[in-house]
Amino acid sequence: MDYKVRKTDTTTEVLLSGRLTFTDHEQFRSVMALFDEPVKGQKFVFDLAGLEFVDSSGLGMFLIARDTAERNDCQLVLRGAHNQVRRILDIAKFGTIFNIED
Amino acid sequence: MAAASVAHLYGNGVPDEILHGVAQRHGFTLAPQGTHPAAGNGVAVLVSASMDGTAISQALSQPYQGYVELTSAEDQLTSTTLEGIGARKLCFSLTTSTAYTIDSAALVCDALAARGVLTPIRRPDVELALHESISNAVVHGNLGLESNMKGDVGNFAKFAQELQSRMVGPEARRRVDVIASWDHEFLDISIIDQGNGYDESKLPANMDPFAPAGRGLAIIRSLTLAMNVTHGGRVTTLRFLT
Repeated sequence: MDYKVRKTDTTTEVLLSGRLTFTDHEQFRSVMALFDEPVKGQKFVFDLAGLEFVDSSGLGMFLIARDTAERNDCQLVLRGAHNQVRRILDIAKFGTIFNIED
Repeated sequence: MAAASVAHLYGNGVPDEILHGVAQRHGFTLAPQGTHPAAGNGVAVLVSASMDGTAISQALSQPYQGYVELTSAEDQLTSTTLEGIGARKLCFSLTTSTAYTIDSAALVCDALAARGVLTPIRRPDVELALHESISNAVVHGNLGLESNMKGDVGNFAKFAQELQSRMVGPEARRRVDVIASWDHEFLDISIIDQGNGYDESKLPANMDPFAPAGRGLAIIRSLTLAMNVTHGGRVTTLRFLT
């Protein structure tokens, strides 16, 4: 997995690309570091348009990011999922606990 | 087991002494260096020092029965692989570190597709279910990491570090075997690890989006006709339609 970060005053966008799997725990720690000093009410967006594949470990990482964001009164949005990524979000019923945008 | 004893071994980058040792131990014959088997010429097993790169990609479409990674003299053919080869099933046997490093589910799916077993329409679900099962075999089976650790915010860094350190430890030498067989109706794929096993009945049976653990198994269940866990949790067999 690779990622780029785009920041404005109110929003932090993380553009994820490649495959997000059980081999990416170490790499994802640096994404989680972005959540370390949040401004209250800030919006985090994971842009998934560049992601080809996500597994259950990747879903677990989304969940950890969401828990961390909410603990700091911030919100996390999952945006732009397609193909397999869209399918696994549906299978895991993530629409019921995440704000998912096209 | 008698059928396995007529197998021909094809080496790919494996030192001669290791190749000869394996052939002698199991009564296999050695094929000439640099050749691939011809269809209908008996049971062929590719023994390779690595399971990545173009040599393996090309070999996946060749009529091998088994693809076995052997990188050192300590690596052995597992009993599941020997039985699978004997039963004319398609067998993969990888070290944990290789199964972790390469996209091994795609590798198996490439081999199945080359044999006309996997259509492009069925492939995504088979590949995801297989990927989840191999991931379980590697992380929770062979590396022995508890699944309840990774779903916790406070433990995430610890889990990531523990995973890294076990990948360079003795557990990474344990093997992951994938054995596939099929007929006109079903495709069955077994994933076998050498870990301590687990009690499947203790994990949630249904998809719970909030669950800290067990999500991988719930995903596998929703993608397969059946998932059977046997041998104390060390063997998982997935059933799909062909």
